[in-house]
Amino acid sequence: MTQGAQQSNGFVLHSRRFRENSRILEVFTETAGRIAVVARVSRRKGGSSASVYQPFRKLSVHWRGRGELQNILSAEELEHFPLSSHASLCGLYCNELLLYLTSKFIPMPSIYSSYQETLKSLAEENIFEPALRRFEFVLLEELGFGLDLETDHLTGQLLVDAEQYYYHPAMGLSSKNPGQGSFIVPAEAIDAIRKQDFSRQSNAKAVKLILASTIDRLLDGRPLKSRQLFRDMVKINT
Amino acid sequence: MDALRCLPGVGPKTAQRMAFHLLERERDSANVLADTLKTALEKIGRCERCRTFTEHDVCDICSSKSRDLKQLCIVENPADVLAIEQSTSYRGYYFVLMGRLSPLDGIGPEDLGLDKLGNRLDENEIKEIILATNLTVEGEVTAHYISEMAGARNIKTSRIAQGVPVGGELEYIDSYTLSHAFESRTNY
Repeated sequence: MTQGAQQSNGFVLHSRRFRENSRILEVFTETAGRIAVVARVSRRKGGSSASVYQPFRKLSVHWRGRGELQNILSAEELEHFPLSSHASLCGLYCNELLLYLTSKFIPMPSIYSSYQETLKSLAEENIFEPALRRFEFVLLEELGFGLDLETDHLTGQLLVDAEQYYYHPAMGLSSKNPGQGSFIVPAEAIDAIRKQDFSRQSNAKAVKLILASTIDRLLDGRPLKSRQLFRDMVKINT
Repeated sequence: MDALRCLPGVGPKTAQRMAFHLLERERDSANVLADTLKTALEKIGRCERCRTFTEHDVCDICSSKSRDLKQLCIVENPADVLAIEQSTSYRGYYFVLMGRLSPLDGIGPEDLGLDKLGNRLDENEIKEIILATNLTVEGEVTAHYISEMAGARNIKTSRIAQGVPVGGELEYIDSYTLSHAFESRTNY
């Protein structure tokens, strides 16, 4: 192996065309975090190398370089997650989150393994929501924005038992209305997040709202296009 | 020379060779090239029906009366229309997206003229949609989105098959293609 070259397993999050025969790939690696690499892709000859750089494939990647943009030396597919069309959209949503919320060159092994598990569930299960919630939860925890579900942010004391609470994306939970920007959530939903049990339908909506609003705060007003696409898709069917 | 570099596959060296060649030996051809480019840019626009490039308001395929009204093939690029026309016996109409849904690049349904496609589906003439978007993740998502649009209007959709290419050796084919080829095998 060439000196200075690095190796890790990883997934392509996004690729865009660069010059005639190359692509710039954003790869989420296990040991080096998110990296941007240039890869040469031949579109004509069999196209096998182009297929390797599709998302949702676990690759063993060798790369080298200094600065922001590295060069890929080789990539080999280790495993692929066959996602159906709707699951693909969910996968792209996870990719979009990773792309916008993780920093380059910082290894995030827990997020990596959670991402891999999420792809596995998306490929094998028919219900996608619980897997997405679990991924969002881990992502927030690992980025240092984990939800504090024990304290009442208004009083600073432990949260008293109640049937419902107010949730504010920036401040957290409270038993009294803290004003604008907060919404009511049932205690059941808070309990589900504490136990990381995202399978129950009854509180799915509230759990989704809590996680989504917290993610939105981190995105700082940047819209998620894949989420918009979900909404457009729902509109078609109604 | 800088102007020539906007062409795909043309680097600084090639651009220099092209420029000198045109100036030294092919001054007449250079004039023809310049005129052709100018007229092409002025006259060629988008087809009102299928969004492909055309000199007229409606392209030749869309204005043809002899084609099958019931079938509509969805492709990503104008080049795909040519490829299908040249190598298949498909005789329906086309709709060219000029791209694909790619949330990470910020390309949404409105950028692909899917509202226009919706209006066309509402005309009630089309009975089958053939999804011939590329076999990439974005192509799949696009196909899925359009199939939902068609489903809401009770229009049948089909997706072009994917499998082993002619001359391909199984050993070298990527795992996704091979597993898909196995799953969608046909009677022989």
